[in-house]
Amino acid sequence: MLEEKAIKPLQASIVRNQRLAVDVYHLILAMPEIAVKARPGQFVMLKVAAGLEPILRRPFSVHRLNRETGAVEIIYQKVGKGTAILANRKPGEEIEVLGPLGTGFCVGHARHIGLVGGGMGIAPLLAVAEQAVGEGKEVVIFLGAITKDYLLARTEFSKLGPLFVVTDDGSAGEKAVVSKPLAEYLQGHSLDLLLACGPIPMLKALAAIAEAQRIKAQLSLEQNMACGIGACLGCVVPVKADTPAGFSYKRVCHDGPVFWADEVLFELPAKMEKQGGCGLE
Amino acid sequence: MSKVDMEVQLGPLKLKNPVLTMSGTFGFGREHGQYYDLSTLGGVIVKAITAEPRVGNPPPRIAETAGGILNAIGLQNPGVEAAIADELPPLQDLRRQGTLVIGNVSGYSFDDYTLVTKKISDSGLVDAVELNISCPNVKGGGLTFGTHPETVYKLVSTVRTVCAVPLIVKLSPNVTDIKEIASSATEGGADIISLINTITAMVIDAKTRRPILGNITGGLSGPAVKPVALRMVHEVSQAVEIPLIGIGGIVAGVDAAEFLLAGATAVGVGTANLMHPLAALNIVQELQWFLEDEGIGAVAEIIGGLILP
Repeated sequence: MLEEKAIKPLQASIVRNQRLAVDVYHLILAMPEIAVKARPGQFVMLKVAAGLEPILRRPFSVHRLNRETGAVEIIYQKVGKGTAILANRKPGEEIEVLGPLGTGFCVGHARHIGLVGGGMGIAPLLAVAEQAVGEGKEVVIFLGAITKDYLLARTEFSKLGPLFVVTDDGSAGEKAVVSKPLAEYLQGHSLDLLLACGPIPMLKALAAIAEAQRIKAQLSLEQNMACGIGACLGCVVPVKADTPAGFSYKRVCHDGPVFWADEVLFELPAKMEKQGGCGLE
Repeated sequence: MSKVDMEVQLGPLKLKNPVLTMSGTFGFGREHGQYYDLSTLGGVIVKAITAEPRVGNPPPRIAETAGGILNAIGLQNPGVEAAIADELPPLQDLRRQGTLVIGNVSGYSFDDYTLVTKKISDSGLVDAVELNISCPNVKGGGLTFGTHPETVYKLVSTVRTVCAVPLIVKLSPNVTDIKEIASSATEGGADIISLINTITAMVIDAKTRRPILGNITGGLSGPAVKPVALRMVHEVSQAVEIPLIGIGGIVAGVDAAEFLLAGATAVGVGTANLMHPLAALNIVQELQWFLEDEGIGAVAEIIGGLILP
């Protein structure tokens, strides 16, 4: 019953693993098979160390794809055990990769695309921005971060279209949240698609703007993940659905990580059915 | 082609090799089936099936710990009608190739268990039913079915009467004396016992002062639980005559061999399926290599072969 064939986990060579900011790293992996197949918005799972520690792979969105050289770029923040191990891996070493996984961004026939990134959520937007521009589309970029050091790939984005930046501390651009320059831009311009990744409050604000302005929007979400292939139902997020509970859960790894903004539920319904007590199967 | 005979007789069931994939870690086979040919497995135990569709627990549902993971999925599944209509039919090819398809049944009342077991069993779409008795008995005060010998006996003997296929009872390790529960399941009419289910556990984030899982507690699985599982398989194999499926932290062929030595006739691969999509396939291969290296001609020879001091 072999259905559509997936790429089995493979060994990729680390080309570069360099620190960009205090705790942010730029990883380049040579893996032609994945580079050719991957689409912007998809992700890969890395086995940061051989053996049983840590047990699970770690998911990372694709930051940039270079199909000619077979390189896939990732930007990650050192936030825990897995990423701390990854930060110590050296160029020339091999690392086991599973991917590409998940849905990507779907640009379709959109001509004027707004890209909105907050913090580490900036990372996955470069690949889709470069692809869209390569296809002759226009992009406008809105980036927000805690300080100017975290405005990732700012130079690369500035080559692709108008760029608006904000920071929490005012070290670059206005001291504001990223939805502010977007809302201002939309007063004088129109966009036919928004693509976004970032913290939940940012995505929620963005979804509200998109709804008010009647712009289709796609959000890239994250969640604690185990298998990465859709089998375990571990990495779910609530979405609107016509079920007795009033919603259902979709898998970030398989149904996402990119979801339509108008299907995402940012809060569970208050009358959430109590399902506890049986996490055991 | 291996020189080792990998076939085992698990009570009434014949397995082409002793490796089964465990419920909840393998969906209905669709996802892992994109990575390898599932007919290389002894059998597939599908995701838990309940009477009604269930949305499952709020996220986060997964947390990591040293040597293991905790999960609190909450039995998210489409319900028995959809499972029979949509999920089990695509697995029938596997059965024609001699790989078993086993339905996992969960419930919150005696009626739930009997209804789902009867429907799955009568559908003709499964080779056996595995009963997950680690759920709370909603009508019985919320206590877990699988922790009381009397309840286990009543539940298994009730379900037995509607189950036309071999019945596997999956034991919870969260009990005082697992031998007692195993005996009750056997007396109730179980053909096979599988053990262990996950160990109830908790992880806390000290900085946020909150539990990591949305459900607060979850089930611990993975290499961390293997020694507990081996001890329980060993104990139960001494206490009952029916065959066992040994489960708990099997991530390599040698782990599978340990469970067979402890007295299991077959083994279940669970968490490893989440660590590597090809894990169960690799474990079949590694078990063959281990037996070849040990000069053993048939896997059945090592079952219960533990040498005690």
